Amino acid sequence: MDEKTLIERAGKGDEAAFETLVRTHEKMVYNLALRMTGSREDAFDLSQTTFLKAWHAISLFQFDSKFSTWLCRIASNTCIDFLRKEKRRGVVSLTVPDEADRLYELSVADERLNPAVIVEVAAQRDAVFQALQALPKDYRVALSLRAIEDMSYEEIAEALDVKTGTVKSRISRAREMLRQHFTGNLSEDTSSKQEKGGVQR
Amino acid sequence: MKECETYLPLMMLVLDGEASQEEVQALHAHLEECEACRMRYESYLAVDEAIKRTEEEPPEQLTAAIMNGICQEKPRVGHWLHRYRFTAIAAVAALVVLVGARVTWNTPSGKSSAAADHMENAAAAEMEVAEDALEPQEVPQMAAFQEAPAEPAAEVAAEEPALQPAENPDGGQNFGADASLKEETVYSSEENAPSFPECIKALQEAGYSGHVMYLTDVSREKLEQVVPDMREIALEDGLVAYEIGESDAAVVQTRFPVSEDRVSGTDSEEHYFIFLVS
Repeated sequence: MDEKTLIERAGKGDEAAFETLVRTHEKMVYNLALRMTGSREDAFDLSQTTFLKAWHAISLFQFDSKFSTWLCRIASNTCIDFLRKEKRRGVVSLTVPDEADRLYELSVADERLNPAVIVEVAAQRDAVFQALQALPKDYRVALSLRAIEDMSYEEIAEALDVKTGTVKSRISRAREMLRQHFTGNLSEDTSSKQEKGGVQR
Repeated sequence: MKECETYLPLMMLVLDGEASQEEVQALHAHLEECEACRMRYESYLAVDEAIKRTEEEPPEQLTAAIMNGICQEKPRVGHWLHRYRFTAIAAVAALVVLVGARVTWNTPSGKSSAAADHMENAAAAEMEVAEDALEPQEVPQMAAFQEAPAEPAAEVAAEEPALQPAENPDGGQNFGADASLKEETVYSSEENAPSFPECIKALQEAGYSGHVMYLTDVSREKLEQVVPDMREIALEDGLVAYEIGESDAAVVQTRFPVSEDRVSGTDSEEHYFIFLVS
């Protein structure tokens, strides 16, 4: 049965059809939530919430975007909202460097450009999750979506309801911030603001 | 270096698979000649690889947990919505009567016309209904809810988070699930009750957005009985909003007469705020 038929059936209340869609896409949703939160427990809960929302809305799905993009939109919003609530509870992430020039500030001779350093530091999964948590959530979600099945700028823009230029900019900055994070280039004072990082079981 | 800077955006396009074949070739030609750019490019590749390597299989029980949540909730969805519509209609009717009664009570002459007496009586009757409504155990007897099948309070409390995307007035044209991303609010005040738009404005100015509910003649104590962990948010002009969870919002809507209920702000919110107005 193709995905379109499954979606149509699920829209009419066919739980078995929806379960097939869940099995197909749950890994994508779960990993997005995991990268967004750095917590397996939260990722599990947010995946449930995402699919519950999708179940209620699936009859409204218009087929004018990919189903996976539509799901990513629900998942992204669910995660961002969750993180916003976390922030209100006092969990603070790193500040956003607004200067576009930050991308170009390193000198040619900068030793920290050595990719071997990144490979070594990022070998620890928890270190990667921790680094992701240090990104502003708008950047994090764009980069996380990009890492999912190589979504295009256009698809990510659709999922996040922003312009493709914004997507490009956020991914670029996120990538540069992570590179600097892995090479120890983030300032101490901003790093110290991080209160949550690593994967929690 | 100046030349290198021009290759940085191209690097990103290539990494993101958005570059044309010619652009890819141009970048690689430059990387052959420029060690600094090559190192930078490889650094970005390492970052991307690190992120991709975090991918893992979801727990085996995830599918079952998702489907279990759906199965548990499904039979109640339509039913709950149906009942809520009647609740909202009844609550708005009650509010209209109460506002009319207040106008009468504030008349300086103190004279009451027959019509005003009638309104007072009606208001008193409605207030009794509202009082009843404040008792969770009384839900099945609430006059305002008589048109809809009532459920035992305990059962209502056990409901899963109620998500009704289709009910969200902000439902996106392409993404019906926008509606699923909603929030609710409840607010409280003593006298000179602020209007619903004023409440929403105060919330927005404080940086909050979400689903906003406006409850009349519900005390904080009564609300707390139903939502013990609500979060108080102090706003401008002494306004107070209570943030509650999504599942709690569903329960509140079944227990109390909600006179106003609107989504405010962006579609990426999922907060429920209540304003209590007496």
